Amino acid sequence: MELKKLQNLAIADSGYIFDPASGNSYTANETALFIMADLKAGKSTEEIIGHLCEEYETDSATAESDTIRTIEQLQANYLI
Amino acid sequence: MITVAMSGINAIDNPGPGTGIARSLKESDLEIRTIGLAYDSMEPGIFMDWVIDKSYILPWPSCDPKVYLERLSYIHDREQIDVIIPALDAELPLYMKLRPEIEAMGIKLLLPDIKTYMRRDKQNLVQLAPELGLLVPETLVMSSPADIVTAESMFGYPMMIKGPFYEAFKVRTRAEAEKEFYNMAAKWGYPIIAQQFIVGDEYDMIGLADGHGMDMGTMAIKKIMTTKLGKVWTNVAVRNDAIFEAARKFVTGLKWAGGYELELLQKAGTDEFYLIEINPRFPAWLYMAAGCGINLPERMVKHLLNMPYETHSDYEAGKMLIRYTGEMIRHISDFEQLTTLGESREKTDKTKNRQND
Repeated sequence: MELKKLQNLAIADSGYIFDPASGNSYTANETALFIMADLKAGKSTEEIIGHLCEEYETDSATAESDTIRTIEQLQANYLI
Repeated sequence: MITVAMSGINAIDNPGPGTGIARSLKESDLEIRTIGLAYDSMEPGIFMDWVIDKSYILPWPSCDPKVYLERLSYIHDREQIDVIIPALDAELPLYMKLRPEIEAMGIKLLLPDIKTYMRRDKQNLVQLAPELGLLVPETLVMSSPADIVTAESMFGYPMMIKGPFYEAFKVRTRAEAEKEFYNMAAKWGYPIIAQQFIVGDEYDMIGLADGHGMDMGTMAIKKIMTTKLGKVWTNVAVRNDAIFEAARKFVTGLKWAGGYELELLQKAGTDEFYLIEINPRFPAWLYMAAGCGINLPERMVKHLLNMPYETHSDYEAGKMLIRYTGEMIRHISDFEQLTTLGESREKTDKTKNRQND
């Protein structure tokens, strides 16, 4: 997974994201921000799902769905 | 005191860069008297006396060059101009032609020669871009509406129809293409350019170069909101290596002299940037660069007057420019002075518009 664009994003705690290379901006919820932080830290999909379960006390099916959907959104916006 | 004259002070819905140049200079660390060179007594910049100290009406650039030069000479006699920054596409060839006479008066200019100027012309871009190592959309130079059929077979619809100097419209059918062809030809003359439409995001880069391949500063933006004519209304500063690289190729490859604007399009979903247009002067959103710490008119003046100047392109991505509309209230006598004498009143503390206080 190419993470260079993700590493360059300016991400605010409010969930507002600005891409300094494209000028595009996005908003993300708390879960997506959590997943993006893990992606930036180099964690694998499985590690992120486990981290989500641990942090939010959610089941693994929900954590997996959230992780995959966030990754798909990032791919659709050419951010990874 | 340094006296700098600039044109393009038509701060209207299709704005020229002149008031942005004047404002940048007023905010520089130089003490500058700004002289507006106008072609119509209703150009708003004439009345914006917090950035333009005095304005003169000039004959149209299509007039006899001797007449134009006589008018410039008259203004120079009164103002002792150090630098002129011509800012309109239509007048640049005239300034290039009159350059020896203007420089003989002691006025400095930073302009390319006519050959270099023509190489970046819209109709020659398709030859130039590959030489610079840049991509360009498929383009057809048209002299007759019958050429639209050829453009259709080359790249189909939608396509862009562009005038020789200004304006570009996206068309979706042959009827629309013909309508814009005639509209554009009536307004700006020939040739009319048909260009492949590429889906993606538009970026603009402003810059200044010394004519020997030296980059004197650049800045890139993404257009967020535009007017119906495609003019920037809101933009955001971006930093993208591919855009900086395009500017470097242009400045070093063409040995450009003066201000410029590159219009680039990033094809959606790719890292490919296409060169859409090279404007041979500062764009109307020029003040954005000064506002972000890259004062290009100041650098140009310092360069021409052999003063030290900065060449960095350090600015923060994410800064935004937001245009707004405003009104001025002036007396009819100001207009009378312009129409009868062809020049504005000398600004005094009493008459000065306090718009910016």
